[in-house]
Amino acid sequence: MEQLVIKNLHVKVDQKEILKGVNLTINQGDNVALLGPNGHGKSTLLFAIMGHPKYIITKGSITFNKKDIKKLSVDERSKLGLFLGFQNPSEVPGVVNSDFLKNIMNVRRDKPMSLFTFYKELENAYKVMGIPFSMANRNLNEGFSGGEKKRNEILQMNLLNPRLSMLDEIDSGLDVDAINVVAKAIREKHQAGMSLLVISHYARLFNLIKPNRAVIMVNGKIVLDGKPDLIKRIDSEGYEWIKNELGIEINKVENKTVSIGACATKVALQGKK
Amino acid sequence: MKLIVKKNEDKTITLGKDIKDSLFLTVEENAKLVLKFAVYQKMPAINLTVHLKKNANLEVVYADFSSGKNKVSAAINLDESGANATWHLASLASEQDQKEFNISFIHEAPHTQADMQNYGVALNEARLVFSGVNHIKNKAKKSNTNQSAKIIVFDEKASGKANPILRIDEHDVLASHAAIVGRLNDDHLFYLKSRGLSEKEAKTLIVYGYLTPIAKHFDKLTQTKITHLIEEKCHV
Repeated sequence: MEQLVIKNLHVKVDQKEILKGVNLTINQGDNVALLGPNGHGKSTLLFAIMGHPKYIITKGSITFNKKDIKKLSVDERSKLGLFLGFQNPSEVPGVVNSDFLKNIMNVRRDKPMSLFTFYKELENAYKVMGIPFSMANRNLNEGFSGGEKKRNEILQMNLLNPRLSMLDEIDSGLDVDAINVVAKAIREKHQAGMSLLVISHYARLFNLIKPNRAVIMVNGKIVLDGKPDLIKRIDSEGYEWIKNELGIEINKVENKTVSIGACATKVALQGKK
Repeated sequence: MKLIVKKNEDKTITLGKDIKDSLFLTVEENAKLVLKFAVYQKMPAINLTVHLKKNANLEVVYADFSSGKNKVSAAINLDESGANATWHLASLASEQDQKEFNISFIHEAPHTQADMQNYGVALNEARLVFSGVNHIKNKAKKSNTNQSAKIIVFDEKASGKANPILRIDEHDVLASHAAIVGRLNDDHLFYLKSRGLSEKEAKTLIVYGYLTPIAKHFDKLTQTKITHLIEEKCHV
């Protein structure tokens, strides 16, 4: 049986320990909701599983189908069947979307697809996601709106057919119609056998994709692993009850100033400090 | 080399191996010249001067996949009204290459138009410099000039520089410029690798994106040559 097993995982980013002993098992066909306050390590866990070079594993193990994936390169992990749907997909300069898609499909095949097969598959994938096919000719994520980037992530998931899909706030930036389209695609792949580990702050997405488990991450650890009704409780009550019922103090995340605006905004924000 | 494209003539010249270092070209009234460079071997020093007469048209396409250290200079003079010039350069610098391109458009007359597009990739320890000058002189009213430069730098020891300069001596004109020198960062590479591309495959894909659009201006043989050279140089 396919299984992702994480044991006592410690991960450091820029000298700071973010994950402090994560234990988590995802079985084949699992559909797991990953919840937790901002800045407590949810995205870090996904990046560490996928192998981002900035996320350094200092202790613990990650195995997928009994294979130690810590030693594998990022592309090898992808070819094993792991997929990460990014919260902020990179805008890669100069790469045309359709060239990119053709390449990522061909690297998993012994022989490259014929242009006709590729074209047909791609056309269908765009139709399923409800994005105009003309977007295939644009540069990869460059100038895409937030919603377009997220749909492009799911489009890639559909084309690559991963075994385990990890989705990081795939619903942020999507309007209601788009959430429905994305959720439908996720559900269909799940029914076809894909496992899921999904981060979201909103019950709307989970109501549509119906996880069978919910796990909660606080202070870099999984503190609760239970039934999906945890999602409802967090949606209405937040995370305060964890402190009272489990006796876990929720660490405050340092308030870092992050600038996403122009230079003037940056100066203004820094000046405030 | 001196060459005059006569009134109303329509000419295409492709230059490759045997480029003489100085080229003086005149494109007369209503004539059209397409000037193509496909350079693969040792980088030549080129001094190109072009004069465009009334309503003359010039299209320069420069595919640079050469190696070595040198300087290419081009001065394109839009001498009479209605003259129009476009310039498209794609340059790949690798290993210890040091390449410099100085391109200038000089608008002498009203209603002249010019557009410059420079694309470059710097690999290994190579250095690539694009300097572009668009000069709209006095009396060149209603002229339109544009330049854009994009360089992507791959490796720690490689470098790229773009110097876009607009000199405008007349009111009532349109002018624009854009220059981007970007370093390929960890996040870009991680994104591409997370979809199953190896580091080499990811880099090749980016280089293709920057440099292959120029290939469409050339014949099949040249196109194949360009593809091979990109693959070869990216895997150094």
